[in-house]
Amino acid sequence: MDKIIAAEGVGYTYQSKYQKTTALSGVTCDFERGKVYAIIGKSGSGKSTFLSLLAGLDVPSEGKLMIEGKDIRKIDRDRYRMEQASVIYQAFHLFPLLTVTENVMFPMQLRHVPKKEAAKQAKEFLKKVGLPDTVYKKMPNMISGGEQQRVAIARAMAAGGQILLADEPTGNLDSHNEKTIVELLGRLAHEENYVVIVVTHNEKVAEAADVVYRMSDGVLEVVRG
Amino acid sequence: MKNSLKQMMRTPVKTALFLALTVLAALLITLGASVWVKSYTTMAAYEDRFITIGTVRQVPGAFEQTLQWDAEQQSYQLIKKEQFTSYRLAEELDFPGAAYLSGPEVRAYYGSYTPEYVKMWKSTNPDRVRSSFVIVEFSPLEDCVPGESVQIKITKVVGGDKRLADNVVWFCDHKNPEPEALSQDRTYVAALCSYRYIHGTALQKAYEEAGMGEPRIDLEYIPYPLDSEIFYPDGSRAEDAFRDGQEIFELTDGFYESDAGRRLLAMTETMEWGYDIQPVTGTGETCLLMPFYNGDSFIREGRDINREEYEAGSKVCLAPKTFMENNGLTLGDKVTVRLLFTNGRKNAGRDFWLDGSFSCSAAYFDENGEALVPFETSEYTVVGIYDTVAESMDAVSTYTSGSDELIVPLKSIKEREGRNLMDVGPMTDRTASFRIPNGTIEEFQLGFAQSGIDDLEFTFYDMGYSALKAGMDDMRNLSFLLLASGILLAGLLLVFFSHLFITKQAKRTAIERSLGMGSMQCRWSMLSGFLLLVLFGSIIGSLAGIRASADVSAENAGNTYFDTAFTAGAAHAANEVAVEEVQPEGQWLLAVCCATALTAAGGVIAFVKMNKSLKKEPMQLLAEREKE
Repeated sequence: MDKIIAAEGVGYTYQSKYQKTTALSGVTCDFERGKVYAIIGKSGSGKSTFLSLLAGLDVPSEGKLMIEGKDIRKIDRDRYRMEQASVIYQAFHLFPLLTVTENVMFPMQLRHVPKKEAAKQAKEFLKKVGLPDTVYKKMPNMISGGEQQRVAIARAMAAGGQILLADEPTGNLDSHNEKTIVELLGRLAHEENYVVIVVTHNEKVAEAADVVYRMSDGVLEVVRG
Repeated sequence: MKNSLKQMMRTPVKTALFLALTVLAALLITLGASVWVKSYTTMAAYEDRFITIGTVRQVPGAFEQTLQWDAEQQSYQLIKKEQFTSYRLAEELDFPGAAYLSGPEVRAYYGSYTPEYVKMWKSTNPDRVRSSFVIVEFSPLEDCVPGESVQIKITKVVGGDKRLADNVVWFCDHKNPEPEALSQDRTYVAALCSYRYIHGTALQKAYEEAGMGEPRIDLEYIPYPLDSEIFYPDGSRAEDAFRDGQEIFELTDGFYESDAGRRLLAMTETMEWGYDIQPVTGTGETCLLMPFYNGDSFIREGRDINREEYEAGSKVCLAPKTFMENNGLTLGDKVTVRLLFTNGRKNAGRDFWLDGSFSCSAAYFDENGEALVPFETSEYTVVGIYDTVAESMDAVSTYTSGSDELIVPLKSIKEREGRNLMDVGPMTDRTASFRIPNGTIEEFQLGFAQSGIDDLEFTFYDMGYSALKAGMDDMRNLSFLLLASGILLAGLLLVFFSHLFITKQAKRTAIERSLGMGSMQCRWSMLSGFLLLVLFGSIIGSLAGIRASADVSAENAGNTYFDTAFTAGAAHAANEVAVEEVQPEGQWLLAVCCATALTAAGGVIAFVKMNKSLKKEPMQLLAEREKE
């Protein structure tokens, strides 16, 4: 077993202006390399909050969230995001003023990879996600949504981590591109040994996952896996 | 930073506009600050070159009209004379709001009786004939016709030019409406002075005798009053038994033992003292004397009397170059001052003209007929030799220094209130002045308006300070306008563009954070390009501002003039001189400061906006965008 993330009774409460809200409660689960996980649930059920905790953008109010055996509270979470976990968004969120290649090079530059090496690796990642070299120098707004999402996946891969967190990655795509992205994520998990955690409403995406969780009112339960 | 700049460069219009406006804002700020500093520095540099003085004239309350008989016209002539209830004193100018640097002073000139010195008149006209005033015994060649010019034979010269003895001259009791009929067989005694040309029958006869030729028209002598010319300080004449009395006396045995005889002998004793009078003026500061203020008189050798010497009443003086040369004196020599009388009405220049001629009394005796006695004798060291250049006689008669006039500290004269007053008068622009700080004329006038005094008139001279100040004020207003526009523009553009480059880029910050960038890295990534542009624009703008400031101040300096008509030593240069450009030190430092301030302001605004972006939770922020 190659467990990389373990959640033990994770809870998350936040104080809004007028009330205290519990977004997550007693979430316990594991995530292993080489598998695609889907977390499904209604809007406001706590899926994205959980993904945010998994990305290290915040810390649980209760319980433990262990990353490779270390409590997420005690690790350098900026470094964690830079080197281990990457997030893919529904709206792609590429840097609009950087080219496709530069977008992919960006996380490597954060790790001070030399520019030439970063460019070379970026092209390899772009090739892996199936993008033709004709788009490499284009700006994000000049390519299709499916291509943009693949660039986002390539950028996530370029971060060098093995954890891919995807928040509705196919939400803005047509069925053809949706299928392509789902296949790509599956391939990354099964062939490249990534752990892919997808938060989605989409049944087809969930069907393609190895393990499916359902989030309901901040409580996680296993649906399949 | 590279990525930051790269992303900015990929929005060239926005970036270029931001850069251009930053350059403009920096230019305006630097230009405004620089022009302000220059106007301030210029004003400070010129401040010491200006002296503001005021002269005072007491306005007469009324005019007294008297009638004087004119034998030539056979009628009374109307003589108008200014009338004053009282003469104002310098102390009366101490009203609230009057901040004097010197004065106010009401100056008299003193007559120093020094026969040992060669006076100006002697160096210009050593053979000057002193025949205009004589005391003589005479007999008419025929019985006099009252009111007519008649010939008389001078039988004896009692006082004055002895060469007139046995001469026949014309005579008329000109100002007497009821003249005595003098007989040809009698001898008379009188003080006579030459007056105007013959008239009436004598003149007619002169034409008849000349026929077609040029008639000989001589001057006539008229009687000279025997009364003393001494005044009391209140302006009234000293009581004298000879006032408006008889002026022509028949010569009888023992006449010279009579009152009239003794008075004529007293007059004889002192009648030529006027030739040996040297005018002395006491003041509290040399610039209060109009000839020195307006540059007609200026120190050619040595130095001015300094403030300490004026305050202490030191025995030092300024002496005219001609006087020093005529008497073989040099700087540092001592000059004897023997004060004989005080003239409280005129300045020395009115009685002692630069060409050597002078107007003097013939009566240096008191109301009792006693010769005046010098009331103060001192030795003064010459510390400065001055010269006087007067362009016109008009100037000579009003403001110029008198010939041989010594300038001394007023406080060095013990009897400075004056003794042996030979004339008393109101404050005039030649005798009353004061010095006030530059630029305070309006305040002074405001204070005076509230003092309740209504019979004084002021004339102010500031050497063009007001004109220069107005020019500099214009520059300063312009600089404030530029500075305010620059600051406003800078504020608006920094707020607006930081919104475009930072607040609107919150998504970029969120992506960077989700990719593992720390807060500081995000700040640096976002702010570096922005601040680099602000810094670059500020430097370019500040340098351009300094350059533009040089052009503006040169242009303004060339168009701002001040009047040199009242600048010492430059009286005869062109009256208006352009203000020279003053280049204050540290202009480059000013540019650096402006650029730094603008960049710092940009930094603060950008930092605040960046912090706001960073406070937003990235996932939440990116989720919000998805909904959009």
